[in-house]
Amino acid sequence: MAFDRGRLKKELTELTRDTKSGVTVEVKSSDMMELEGVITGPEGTPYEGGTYQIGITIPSGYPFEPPKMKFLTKIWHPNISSQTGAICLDILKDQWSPALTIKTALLSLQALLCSPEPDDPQDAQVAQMYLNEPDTFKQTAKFWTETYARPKEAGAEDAAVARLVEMGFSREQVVKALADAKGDENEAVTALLSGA
Amino acid sequence: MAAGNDDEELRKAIAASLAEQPAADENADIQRAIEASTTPQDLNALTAAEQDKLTIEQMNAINDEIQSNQAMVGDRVGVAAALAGEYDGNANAGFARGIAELDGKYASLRRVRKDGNCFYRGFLYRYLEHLCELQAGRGAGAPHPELERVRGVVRASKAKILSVDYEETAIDMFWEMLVEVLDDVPKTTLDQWHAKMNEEHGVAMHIVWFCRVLSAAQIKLNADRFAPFVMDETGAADVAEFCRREVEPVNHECEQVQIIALTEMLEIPVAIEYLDGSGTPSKLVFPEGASPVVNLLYRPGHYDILYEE
Repeated sequence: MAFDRGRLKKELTELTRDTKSGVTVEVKSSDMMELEGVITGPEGTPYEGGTYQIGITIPSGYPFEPPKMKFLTKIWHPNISSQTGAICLDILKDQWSPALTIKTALLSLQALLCSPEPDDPQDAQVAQMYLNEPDTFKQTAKFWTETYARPKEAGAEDAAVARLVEMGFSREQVVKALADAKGDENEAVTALLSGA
Repeated sequence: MAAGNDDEELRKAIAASLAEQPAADENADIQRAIEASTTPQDLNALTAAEQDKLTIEQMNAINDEIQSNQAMVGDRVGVAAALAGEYDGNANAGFARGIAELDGKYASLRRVRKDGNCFYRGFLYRYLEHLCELQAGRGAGAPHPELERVRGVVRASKAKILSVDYEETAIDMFWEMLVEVLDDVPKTTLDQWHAKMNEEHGVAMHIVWFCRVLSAAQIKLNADRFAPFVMDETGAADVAEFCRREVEPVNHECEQVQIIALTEMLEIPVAIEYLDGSGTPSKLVFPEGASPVVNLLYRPGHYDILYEE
């Protein structure tokens, strides 16, 4: 029997309809084997407020073989490589079963963000910090959330343009100054005021 | 100032967290580490990720070998002929005595592939084979009462399974396949059944796995009764966790709890001959007192099918 997409299709249809679970999946390739999931950082964790993209590859043996998943968004967590996004989670390896789905796997990743398992680390450096310097760990993880996992605020740049135009500069000047300052509004103002 | 120092340390920690590390191509590194570690003591030098990858590669190699060398279910052969070779020269003479005794009691044996699914596969194969025989005996007439009964049980199982929190999306396809296989029994010959159960990546792997769900659902539905049998080393009994770890994963070997649960769920009894080195095989019947059609042979770590005639 060739690879049967029936189950995968069902799962994807279900995921599109599901607005409650808080995970979403987008199809990235025409054969449906490449997907991208999104999970949000759980409340009360250093990942709160973060949005994490998960790269998903469906193997030809699915659902008898687990989907391959890795974090595309950088994250500081003992069971996720801070360099490659590789994940250490039993259900994505020998504890996978066809009773699980892409959705349940993504929800398990969310649960992993709530309860790291430093005794079975993917990233030894992060796990060390988690065990030995919990406060530093929390703040570092928070910093990574702020830096890498914050969804870009839509229209933030337009708002900056509008504010500077209101100060009396031409739109053309403002856009150029902002671009030169790599989006830093204060630097752009300074440049505009100095007539550069 | 303490606060200043803390900030400074945190700044350093964050800077260190951001520092580039050379592990750009993890897979290549793991590959090199695995290649470098050909001796067992080197295993200790591997990281968890490297060990995982090594384990997975070894498991895949073993599975590939099993697949190419062992039929999922073999042909019927004499008990002594099938087993004697495996125990030739075994220091424990009990095995040879046990085999001789089984050979006197059973006409033949079918080997089942040693891939962790042998109980479920042997059980399903033998039971459906029996159904095909029963139905063939009735010609093209009405379905045999036993076929009717088990069809009803399997049809009703879906609601039971969903009631213990399985996702319909996940189990639907497997359930449908078993329903269809049962519906097809009246037009299935024994040769067709044998071929179906030996088709790689086909219906067999689906319905064999579905037996795990039937077993797990029965355990969850009777959590209080099964809890004492699924305790972990700390004495905690979490039936859902037990099912997740020990029942549902593909290729995970089967213990008595799963056997009892499956025979209860389908109301199909099974008899198991336990062959160890003690000389006399001991026969257990689940549930006690039943007269099963399905006879299996258990040797440590493996099940095969036994035939009385």
